[in-house]
Amino acid sequence: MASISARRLAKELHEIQTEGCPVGINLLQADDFAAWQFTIEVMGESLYQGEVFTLLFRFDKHYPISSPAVQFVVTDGKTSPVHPHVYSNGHICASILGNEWSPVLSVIAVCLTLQSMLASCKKKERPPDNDRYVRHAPDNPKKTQFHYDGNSP
Amino acid sequence: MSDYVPSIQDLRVKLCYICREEELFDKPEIPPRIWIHPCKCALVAHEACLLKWIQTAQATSAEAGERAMTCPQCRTPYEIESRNPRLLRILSWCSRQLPTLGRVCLWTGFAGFLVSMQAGIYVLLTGYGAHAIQQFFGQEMYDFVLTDDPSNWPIMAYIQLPLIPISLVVSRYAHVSPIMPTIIACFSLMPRGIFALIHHNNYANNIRIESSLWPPSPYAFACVILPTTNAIYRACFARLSYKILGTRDPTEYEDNLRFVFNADDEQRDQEGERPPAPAEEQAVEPNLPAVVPAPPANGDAVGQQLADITIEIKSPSRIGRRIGGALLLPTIANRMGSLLLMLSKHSLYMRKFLGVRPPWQSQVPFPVAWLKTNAQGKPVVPWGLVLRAFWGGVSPWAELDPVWWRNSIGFGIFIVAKDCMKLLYRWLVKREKETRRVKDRPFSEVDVSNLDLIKAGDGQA
Repeated sequence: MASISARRLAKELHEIQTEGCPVGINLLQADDFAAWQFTIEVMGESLYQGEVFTLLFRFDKHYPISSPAVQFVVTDGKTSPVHPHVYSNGHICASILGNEWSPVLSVIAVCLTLQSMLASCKKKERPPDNDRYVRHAPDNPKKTQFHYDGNSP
Repeated sequence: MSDYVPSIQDLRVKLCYICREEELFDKPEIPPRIWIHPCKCALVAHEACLLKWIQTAQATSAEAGERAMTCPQCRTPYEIESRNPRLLRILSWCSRQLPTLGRVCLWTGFAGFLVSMQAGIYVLLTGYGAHAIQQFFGQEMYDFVLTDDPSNWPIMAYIQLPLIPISLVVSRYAHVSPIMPTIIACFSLMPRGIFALIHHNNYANNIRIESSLWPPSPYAFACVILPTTNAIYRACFARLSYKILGTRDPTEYEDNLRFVFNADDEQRDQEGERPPAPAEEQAVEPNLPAVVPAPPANGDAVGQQLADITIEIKSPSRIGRRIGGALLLPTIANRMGSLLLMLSKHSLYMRKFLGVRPPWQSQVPFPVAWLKTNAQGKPVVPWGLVLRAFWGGVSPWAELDPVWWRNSIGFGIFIVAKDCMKLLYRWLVKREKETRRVKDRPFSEVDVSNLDLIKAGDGQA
């Protein structure tokens, strides 16, 4: 009997494959229940018009009790969006990936949240502590203790 | 039917919002799992999944735990019932205090460590003090005044004993004879002896003054004999060394302590020579061999004047040796005293001088006292006896084998021998320097044509 994590991910994957992804989000690769990749772009008017980013999801065996590790792919010529909450190494400072994660959320729900985060961006800039963070950042963004500041997206 | 409220049992399809497993009402799982609807919205879940989620979130952080206790969709707080007796609440309160407790423990532990370290030092010093007493005053006196059981010690001993090593070391740096502090410390141990006297005097009314006039009591020794002898000896030895070396005894300089550390301590030590004061330099110079030309002597003089400035520099190693030497004093005294005792077996006069007595074997308590009662039964103070007691000592001193006396004599001999050795060494070093000659060689292996030699005709030009 597969683990809870695998069964839930199988269900989510089944839903994606049958119902399709929301607009602007496409499944790139989901060969196993350890790591999935999506492309994500902001539809309509935004600062990221025409830009396509790649999202990497990494799951551990406690998913969905534990949140997935989500980041933008910055290898193979891919870049992370220039955004006040996205570091140049692809790590994302978003509360729903940290202390506001809930099992009610899903992979697609995370994609949609991040899409709206990009869409609502007012100014393309890196986080103020980008250089320092990138220098010392761990490989897994879940190991970072982000300080989420209140209302900002 | 209008007040019909459906419950979780009435759902056709139940979907756990956590594990996303479905269960159809007509296909119940086997074994069954408990479903719950904990909030006001449509989300349902397996109870096990929800509890696991809450538990995990609470373990992550207090904030995440609080968040997990509400519905992620409608934010209705979950209500959880559990067996949470007062005992558990008390215990969890205690558990929350653990970090504070840990900090308290750390600091008390640290403070305790400091205190116990100091206590350890105190015990060490006291132990040394007791050892010094035993060595210097002999086992008999030690057993009488102190004994091996610290619970017998008079209160003063707990103050005086640790002061013994300290005063021994300090005395190496002050113009105090090193034996003084031990004697002085011993004074303080007397209350017990005096107490014993008075105690025994109550029932043994017969007065016996056993104290002989030789050897003198430690009081007389410490207050009169030692300072006098010490002063006379220092003066005589200084004269002697001035006669032999032509300079003042450098050890007189050393007694002034200056905490300046010098790296080239060893080199200066090997030289062993203290430069003479400039005034005496003049006196020494005529004695220098005529062969040695003036310049080296002058150079020496410059060096000596420079050295004069740093004359009292002390080094860590020298300090270490001084401390070690000071602490060895009781042992050295003891060995020297034993040596004297051994030698005294062959000489009656020596035995008399050392006041050697057989081991004290009396079964009755010390009967000696200097408190006398008159005809009316009132005690009178016999001042003559007081003086006599001062010189000859009271009971324990007068009755017991005066180990301390031969130890003091022995240590005095040791000091004299040491000073003489030092003087001899300095004299030998001085003589070696004064008798230095440079050997002259002919040009036997040199090409003579290269030398600018005096030509035969030069004298006539």
